[in-house]
Amino acid sequence: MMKIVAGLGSIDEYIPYVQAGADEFFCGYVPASWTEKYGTLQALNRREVMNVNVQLGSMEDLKILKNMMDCYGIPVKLTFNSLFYSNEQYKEVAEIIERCMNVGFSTFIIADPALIVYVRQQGIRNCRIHLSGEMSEINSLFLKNIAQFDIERVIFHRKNTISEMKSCIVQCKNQIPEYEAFMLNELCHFTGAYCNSLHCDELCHLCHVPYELGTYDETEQKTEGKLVVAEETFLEDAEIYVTGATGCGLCSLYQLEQAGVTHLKIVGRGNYVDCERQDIAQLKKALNILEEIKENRENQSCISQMPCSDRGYERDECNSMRFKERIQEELFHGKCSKNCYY
Amino acid sequence: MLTDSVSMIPFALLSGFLYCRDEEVIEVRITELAENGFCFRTAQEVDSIEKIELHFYEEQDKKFRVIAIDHPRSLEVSSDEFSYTYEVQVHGLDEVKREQPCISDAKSKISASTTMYRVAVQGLIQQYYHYIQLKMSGDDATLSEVYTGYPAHLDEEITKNFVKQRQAWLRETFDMQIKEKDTDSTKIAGIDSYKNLEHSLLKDCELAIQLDHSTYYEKYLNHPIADFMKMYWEENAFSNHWLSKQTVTRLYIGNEFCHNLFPDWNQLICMMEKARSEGLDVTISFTYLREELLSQTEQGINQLYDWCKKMNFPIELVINDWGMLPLIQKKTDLFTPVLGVLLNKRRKDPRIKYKAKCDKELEQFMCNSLNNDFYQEHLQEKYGMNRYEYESCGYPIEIPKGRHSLHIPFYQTNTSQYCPLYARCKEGRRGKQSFVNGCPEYCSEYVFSYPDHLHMVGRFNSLFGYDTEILGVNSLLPYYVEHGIDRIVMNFM
Repeated sequence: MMKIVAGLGSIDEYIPYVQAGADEFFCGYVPASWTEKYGTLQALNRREVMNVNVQLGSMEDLKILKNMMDCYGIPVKLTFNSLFYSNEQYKEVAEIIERCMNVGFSTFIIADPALIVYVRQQGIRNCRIHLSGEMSEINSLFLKNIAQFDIERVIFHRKNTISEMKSCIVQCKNQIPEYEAFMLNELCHFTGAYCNSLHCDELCHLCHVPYELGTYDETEQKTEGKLVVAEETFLEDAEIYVTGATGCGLCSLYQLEQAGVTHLKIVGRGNYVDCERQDIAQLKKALNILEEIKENRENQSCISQMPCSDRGYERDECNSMRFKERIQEELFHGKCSKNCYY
Repeated sequence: MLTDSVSMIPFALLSGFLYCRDEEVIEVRITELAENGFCFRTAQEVDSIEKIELHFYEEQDKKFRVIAIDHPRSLEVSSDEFSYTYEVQVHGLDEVKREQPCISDAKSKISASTTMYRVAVQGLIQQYYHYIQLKMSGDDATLSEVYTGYPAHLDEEITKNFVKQRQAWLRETFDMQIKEKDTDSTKIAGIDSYKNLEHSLLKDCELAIQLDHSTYYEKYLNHPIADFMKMYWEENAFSNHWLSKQTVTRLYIGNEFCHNLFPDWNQLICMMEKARSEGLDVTISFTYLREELLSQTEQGINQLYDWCKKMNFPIELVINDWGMLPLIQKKTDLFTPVLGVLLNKRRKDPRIKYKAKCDKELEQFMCNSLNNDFYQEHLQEKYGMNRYEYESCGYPIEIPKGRHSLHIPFYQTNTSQYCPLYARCKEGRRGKQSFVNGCPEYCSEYVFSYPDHLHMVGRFNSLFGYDTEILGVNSLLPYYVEHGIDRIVMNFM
């Protein structure tokens, strides 16, 4: 079964999320010394805020988290996924990574190719690297190239098609063993690797600034008729929990597994604890439905009670449709957000 | 017992350090904060704390105030299988102070009383609640206005015609240029001295233009370079600027941000043939490389290489995806790879002046990974990359040694591989994006228009900012030319 990877905003979330069904966690760690030196102007990872609990800020909390990991056996990886660092920061980040390793954390999510080069050049041993979803474009040529740096996992960014992921996995499986895909929340309008604008407390994300559809010039419109003229609709902030309200890939689980994806990411650092717990539980439920479909695929007929082949479908295609139907019925109860990742 | 305590104030606003007898320093999370004390937690029992430092973030000064408590009276209040929580009582320390100072401002080294701690706590809690209150109101603009002076009231002024909007921005630039002749408007330290060097410094600097969408591809193919350039400067309302009097010697062909705006391979060859016959050098701009487009791109690269070989015409390729490099690995006799804007990561945002208000804060943005020797050497040795593409983006950039390019006056801030403009035009929702191949180029007619004062536009699949100073402040371009820029690439979007 594919594993559920959930985000931690604080160590207090570890146990409730384990109980909800998480198989692995990721979280940020920003030492106070970094915050005091660089603030949010040069963040250590992509949670560039001070006023919200979105990551860990003390080494002692990391040690407590390690105690929890030892007890529950659910691993945590740490994110150092800023798109770039500068000058002496490479040395500082490498030192932080080594300190984290000394207390028992061995896996790090990195987005900056220069940091990967630096970490390997410094010979930091036993440091496992997961390529962040904020890394530049993922394609098999790039993956084969970066595999020389001993990469354990690729986290595909949000705007990948399943067929592209499959192609990458097929070609790189021998060099990179694990592949993670985004599953729930925060379907950004722009690609993370190319999002260079501010993410801070004081200003909204640049993509949230007011805008209107305008024209390039007042020339005759060549694509007239193709344009959907309706006013753009925006999702209101949900007052009640809706699975995948801001981004969802649940319907694609069957295809993702077929493609070779091994891990599923729930974006959630800083989310309400109860929402994240429900996200984990919903994803667990979806994975159980997937297992049922897979177990029955050899001996169960199609949705229409007719063999797949008679209806012109391959078995996998038919099972995928069957899976989607059950997800809609049993998880969404007709309240699908239609904010699909894939 | 703590009175009216606040739990879990974010660590970035408040952190704690325990100084132990064995000289170990332990970084802890403050789990509760009150005027009469606080709680912290540890992974193991601690019993030898000589001093505790609390670091309070003070929003107004953007600094941390450090309060040190010597010989704290800590009391373990709870423990579980993972952690120990301690409570430190602060009230009553004034009495102890008679014998020895218990609280001091660690940075100023001024002995203080319990009052100092209480004031710091009150300030932090007030500041934190103020932020939460504003955030919960859901009004981002007001929050920005309060915290940064961002002029939220101007957000309603949006010119929905990009050409008009751009003309207004350029007028602002020209006005700035006129004013600058009499006054020193630049606030960037060290750059003023370049003001008087004026344009003579640019004599050894190459001038290039970017052809990045089909309208330009066609216009270039249909007009001799001299006519095309005249049209280009006029269309972009730039004919009166001194830069337009310089000779363009290089074309950048292709779009660094959108795969659908790369020219058809045959059209590309035609443009290159024309450029060659007109004595122009050529740089081909590639964007990210989608897995689905690998074989198509590989074929195109081979076709391009064959043509260059036949014509003995070496070119540069702007690389914006590491996956491109294996495709040109054995073709470096004619192809010189150049590191593109999408791989030259940098904080870029037209609102940066509101976030970083002083020169010292702006200086934090000057460098990135490319200012490091180890990375420069890696790029050179591994990929033969020596030239990096930069954008002027509203604050000074420290250019590393070498010969690099500067794109002006627009700079990219955000790009989506699934086009938001396509999604808006096709689906009615900017967020309903999917992979687009075979695009009708809605961007030839539409843009996302943003508030005029922000100087930004949603163009193609990206957001771009307009650098208001690079063409207006006379000292900026000479400064860059003295510091490693030997090519200016014009792009008016």
